Amino acid sequence: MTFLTPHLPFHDPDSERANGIPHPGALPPPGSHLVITDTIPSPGHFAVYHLVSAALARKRKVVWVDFRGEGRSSWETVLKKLGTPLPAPSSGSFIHLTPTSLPDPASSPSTSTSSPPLFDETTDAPVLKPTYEALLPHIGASASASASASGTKSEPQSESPQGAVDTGAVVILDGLAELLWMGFRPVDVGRFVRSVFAKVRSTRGTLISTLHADHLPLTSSLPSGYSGYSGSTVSASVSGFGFGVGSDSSAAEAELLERLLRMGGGGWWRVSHLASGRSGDVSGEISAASNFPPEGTAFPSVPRSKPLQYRLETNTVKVFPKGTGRGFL
Amino acid sequence: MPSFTRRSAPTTPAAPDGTHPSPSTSQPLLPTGIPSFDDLLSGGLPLGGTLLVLAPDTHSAWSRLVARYFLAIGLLTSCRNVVVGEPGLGRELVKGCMWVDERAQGGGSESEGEDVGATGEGKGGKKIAWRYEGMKKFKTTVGGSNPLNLTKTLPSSALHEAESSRQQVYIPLDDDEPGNQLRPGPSDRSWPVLASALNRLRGILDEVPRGDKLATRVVINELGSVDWGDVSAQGIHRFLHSLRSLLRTRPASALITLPAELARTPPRGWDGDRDSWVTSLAWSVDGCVELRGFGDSPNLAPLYRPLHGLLTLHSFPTNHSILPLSIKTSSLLGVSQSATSGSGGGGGSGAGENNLGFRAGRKRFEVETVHLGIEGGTGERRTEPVRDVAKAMGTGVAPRLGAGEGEGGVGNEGSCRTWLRARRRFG
Repeated sequence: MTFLTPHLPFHDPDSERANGIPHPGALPPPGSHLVITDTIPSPGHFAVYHLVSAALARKRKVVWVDFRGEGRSSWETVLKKLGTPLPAPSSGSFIHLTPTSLPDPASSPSTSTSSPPLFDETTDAPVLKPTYEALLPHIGASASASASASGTKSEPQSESPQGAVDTGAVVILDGLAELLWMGFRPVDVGRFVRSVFAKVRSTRGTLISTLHADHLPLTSSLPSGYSGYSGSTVSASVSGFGFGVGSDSSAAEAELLERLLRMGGGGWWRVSHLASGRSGDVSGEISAASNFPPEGTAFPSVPRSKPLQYRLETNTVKVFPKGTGRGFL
Repeated sequence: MPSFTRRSAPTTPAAPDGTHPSPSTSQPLLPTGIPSFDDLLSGGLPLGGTLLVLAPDTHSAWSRLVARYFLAIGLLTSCRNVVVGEPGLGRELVKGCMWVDERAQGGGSESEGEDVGATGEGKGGKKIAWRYEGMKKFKTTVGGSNPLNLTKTLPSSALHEAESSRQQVYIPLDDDEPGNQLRPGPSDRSWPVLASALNRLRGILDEVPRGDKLATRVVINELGSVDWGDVSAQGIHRFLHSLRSLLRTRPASALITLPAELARTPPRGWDGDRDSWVTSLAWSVDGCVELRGFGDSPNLAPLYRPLHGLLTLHSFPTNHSILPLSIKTSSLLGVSQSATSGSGGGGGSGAGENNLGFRAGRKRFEVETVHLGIEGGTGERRTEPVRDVAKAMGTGVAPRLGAGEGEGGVGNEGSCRTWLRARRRFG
């Protein structure tokens, strides 16, 4: 159980039925989509680390599409600290795809199928099809299945040797905002995510998308008990979770976020900073909303008006109710 | 199991020359040449990282000064320097680098008027109150002595030697490179120039004359200025994304400067405002620092004396650790838990982030915390001219006391005295 599980648990009846005991899950249920947004003073990397650590601990296959260009070595260091070291690249249970914007990528020796180009080599237009094609072979094979039959397609809904319901891969689309800034249109990125989600859902996998959302109004700036939308253009049904645009400045990010939320099928974790600035006691706030999750499953709900606060520490993350960072009000 | 086991050789490669290990992780860091700046970055710029320095002040060039420090310390520590930009400006940038004062080597304080770490003994033999004798002098900055001296310039012989040995390399901006077959895309007409620079940089980084023991410092000089062509916001972001992926797996780090106009207003192709532009830039690099000098707003200079500008740390390296090392170790930033947890709660524990500024003295550039003066700010009395009050009295309109006049008690007190004087004069 990693640091966010007691505070943001998921409930998956299939898993509980298979294991025989009801317990909160650290991972979103199979066939669901979790959107994670963050801001520059409070990056949401820790939430992704939590989910990856949980997936690796449960022998789920993880496919990380690194649009940010973060690199594998950083994750190796962090996940080792969290107690779930990354599997070797040759193991097949952790796939790292780094779509590249470099010119003439074929000349790079490190370029292979793991680095699909983000721009067409002849027209220089932004394209996501190579990334989708590079991603497709990795969706659907769970870690246990790939370990038993490497390279063969797994059968969804099959029973694993432990008796648990076999599930697909955890696919992470990390850094969708970076695509917008490089010239991708929100509608194209939205289509790409929808296509990946359709494939992930058919294989009982889990999709996680990360997006920077500095344009959203701060969580703690709202009065207590506030619910409703602060934006007029957005009509997605995320109950009590306003996500209006603070200004017209970040229309592309707002449009993409709206498209992601309209897909439904999961939930939204929103990481934001404090209005009072950086602090040693509180690194930021996190709230969660359910957004039409798959039938029979439950996503955590933490309202914007009463968010959880967290503090990053060297080897873990402390999560606590607002105002109780040092153990007292 | 035997009592003695044969110890195998370490599998991790040795850190390149000119780097030092991070205080918390084993990640090699490249110092920027400014100790107080390194404090903000928790020791320096991580190898494989990118640092963006914004300087929106059009009347000064603070980002160029930081870039010169970055290059100068690279020449001193046997790193390889690569400057990407217009060749003339690139060479001028290196030529103006500060250098070491040989006479001051090996001792002596290089302070100027304000000794860092000086004790409570006043200057000129003055004795201060006994209860303050044991106290250290209030410090607004950190870091030890800096070998680089702003009064010294890089000797031409050293520059020639560095250029001839390819320790100092320049990458010009042109799009007629033979290997560059890219056609200008719909997003950016100037992309061939940027692509050519990236291809040449990749070629230089891939030639490793001394194995992995050579660290490379890359300076992207004035990215997006007229020399780079008509670069759009999307082109700049694509360049930063490519640069990051290029450096991640190589022993190199980059410092990027933007022209002042691009730090003030977004380039073409960006629909949002300036804040959203800066935020997007801060996400696209590992660290983003803004040096907002007082050149454009001279009225701020006396308020913040002796500072020359304010510093904003938009982002800092967050990779290789859950808790960003800047938060963990930076004394100047002031949010380090190790610095506050000892007090056991209350008081200053968990205090917010410090306000930061910078100043360039005669010999060195420093980042400092911003504090009010001894008298709580400006010591000047700010009052309305007497004739205005007289006019007001003459027209029968009583002057408002303390409303909109000056700031704080000094201004209000002055207004009150002026009004009383005018009242006595006019009966």
